[in-house]
Amino acid sequence: MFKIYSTAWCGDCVRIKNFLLEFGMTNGDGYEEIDIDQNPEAADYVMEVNGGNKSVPTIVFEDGTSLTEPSVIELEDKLEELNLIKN
Amino acid sequence: MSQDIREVVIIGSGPAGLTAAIYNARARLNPLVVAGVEYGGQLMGTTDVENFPGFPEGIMGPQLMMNMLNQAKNHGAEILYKYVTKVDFSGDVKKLTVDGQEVQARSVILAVGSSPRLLDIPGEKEYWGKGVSSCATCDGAFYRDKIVAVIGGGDSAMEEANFLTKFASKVYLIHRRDEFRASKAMQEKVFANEKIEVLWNTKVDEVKGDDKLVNSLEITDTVKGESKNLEVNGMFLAIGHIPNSDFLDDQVSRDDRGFVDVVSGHTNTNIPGVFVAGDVHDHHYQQAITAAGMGCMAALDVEKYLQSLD
Ligand SMILES: Cc1cc2nc3c(=O)[nH]c(=O)nc-3n(C[C@H](O)[C@H](O)[C@H](O)COP(=O)(O)OP(=O)(O)OC[C@H]3O[C@@H](n4cnc5c(N)ncnc54)[C@H](O)[C@@H]3O)c2cc1C
Repeated sequence: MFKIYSTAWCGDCVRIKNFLLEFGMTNGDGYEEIDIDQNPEAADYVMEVNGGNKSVPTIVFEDGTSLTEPSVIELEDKLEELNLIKN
Repeated sequence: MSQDIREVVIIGSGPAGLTAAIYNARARLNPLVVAGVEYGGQLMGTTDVENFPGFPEGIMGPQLMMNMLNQAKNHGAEILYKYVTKVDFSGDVKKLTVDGQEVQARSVILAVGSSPRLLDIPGEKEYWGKGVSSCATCDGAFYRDKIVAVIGGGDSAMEEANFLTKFASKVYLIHRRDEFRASKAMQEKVFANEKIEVLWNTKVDEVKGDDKLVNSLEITDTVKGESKNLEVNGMFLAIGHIPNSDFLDDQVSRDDRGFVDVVSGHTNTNIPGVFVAGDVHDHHYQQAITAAGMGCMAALDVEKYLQSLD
């Protein structure tokens, strides 16, 4: 399962999650969501994986790659590449 | 996406565009919404919306926008998560360039809203996302126990400054004049907040950092004429909005600030078949409900226009 680092009020996060719903993915079923507001150490981790960028959503895949604030098109391409969704 | 001529294409996906989409979809016009990559509009960057009717406890901005999007989709609107980069309104059939491809339509609703204004100073672009932001509610959590500056003097600057005190140890509110434009109530909240220090008559000249993150601002006191370095970890811009209308070029009449003109009726631009709604026209009310209301008006005007063609 890939991980989405987010906050409750982050619009880009809601946008991404609403998009993933189109593929039947929800928190716990398809991806795991981590609220960095509830987990301060996760905020440091986010900055580590995306080169110091203080931005959510940051999405970390099982192969270690990550996307920061992707557009839904970029995310869709990535999920296809990883065979997580079918075109 | 079919290659046929669309009855209506709606550009933009804030409250204006999505309300228009709901109406035009229900009228069986099979609208295409070119939503943009950052779809959902300005409310995607805010927390509680407490003045949109129908939600007695308030609603999170992004949730409200996804509700509108899903409502438009449920009624059959087609959504494209891309930008329109060019328009040609010279003929009866309007032509739009979307991601290098041409889309044709008998009518168009311009609902592209507005974007935060930038200071246009050195360092601002380089440190965007690395300390520079226009959305406190999106990025505030990264500034726990840090020092930040908010630039501006209107309601949204007050709101951002107050919000940031939830996380930051100190918030400088930097304003170039000696009084705020913001409402009295908002100002009082700011003055009562011990974490906020107002720097009057001050302008920011440069954003500085260690190449990775912001660590200070070069500021000038415009009355004393003195410049100094102010240590901060972040800078939040709240200096107003500019309409997202550059791509329209001279294809439709705009005022000197770029807002699209209504020349007759309530939503008619100077081009027959091209209508406008929301913040890209209205720089006066700038509210979600008024944008949605104007989206409804534009959708109904489209229906009437298309009937007049038959
Ligand atoms: C921080 C903040 C808090 C706010 N809080 C409130 C509030 O509590 N209550 C309230 O009523 N109002 C509030 N507002 C104001 C409200 O958000 C706006 O008035 C409203 O969103 C305007 O709607 P709109 O549809 O005209 O445009 P926008 O919301 O700006 O949406 C325009 C959309 O069009 C897209 N777009 C732009 N160019 C193109 C293109 N070329 N092709 C395709 N798509 C494009 C953009 O990406 C965007 O998604 C707030 C605004 C901000 C910034």
